[in-house]
Amino acid sequence: MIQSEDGGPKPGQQVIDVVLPTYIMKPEETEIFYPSQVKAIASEVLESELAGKEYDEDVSKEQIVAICDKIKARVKGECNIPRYKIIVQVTLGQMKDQGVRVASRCLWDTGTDNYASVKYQNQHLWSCAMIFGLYTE
Amino acid sequence: LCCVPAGRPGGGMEAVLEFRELEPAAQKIVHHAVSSVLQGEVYDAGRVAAWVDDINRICIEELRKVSGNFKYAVSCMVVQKKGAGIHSSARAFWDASTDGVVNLTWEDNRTMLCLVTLFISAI
Repeated sequence: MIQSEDGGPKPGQQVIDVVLPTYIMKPEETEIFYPSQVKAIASEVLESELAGKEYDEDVSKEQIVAICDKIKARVKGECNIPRYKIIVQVTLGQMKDQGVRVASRCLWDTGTDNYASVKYQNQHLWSCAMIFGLYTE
Repeated sequence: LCCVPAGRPGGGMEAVLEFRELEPAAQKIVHHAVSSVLQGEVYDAGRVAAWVDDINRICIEELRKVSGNFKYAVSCMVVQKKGAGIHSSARAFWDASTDGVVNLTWEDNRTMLCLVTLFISAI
């Protein structure tokens, strides 16, 4: 912590926190990425944002970014996973009788890392959200 | 497929430690994986599952050979071209100095479109 001479950072001065390595190899029992919990959050967000909506090109652009942000904020806030890196990917498409296939594959530590994936569709659009949680030692 | 990052004589797994060094090689790998699987094919709902799995598998296997210092998550989407609109976006909470994403939109085919997103996170 960079301190000024009188023992406290002055207002507006940048405070740099130096974090020492913890040498912890595994997450605690209570701090694991639980896919079921994350899935519930993601489906709630998709339902609330997209229920009854139609596909509109310009609106969808902002909608999808907002959904991504909401999912990420809620996962960070509600799931107790401080040592995890979170990646959220959301896809939104128009329903037009086309065929779509979305798949993912990962190279990671299967003991600590996991993912959750949720689908949503209504008669005008379909959406798929994938949330990956990667543990950082 | 030669994927040794430029500027590193002999390559080697211990050589690459940050995403920006890996990025050019990763882009080449993803492009090669998609074009080798989908070049000249027509969209077929029965075979698309196998194509997508192949693309993902090739990406991961080639990336492993380039560097073992990263965790990879690749996501591939194949959409039939039928005039429908599509959007994809991603957000990440990670260390921006060492982690990154590679996106590829492959539209060379008349009947389908392929979107590949590759997330790379340093260990």
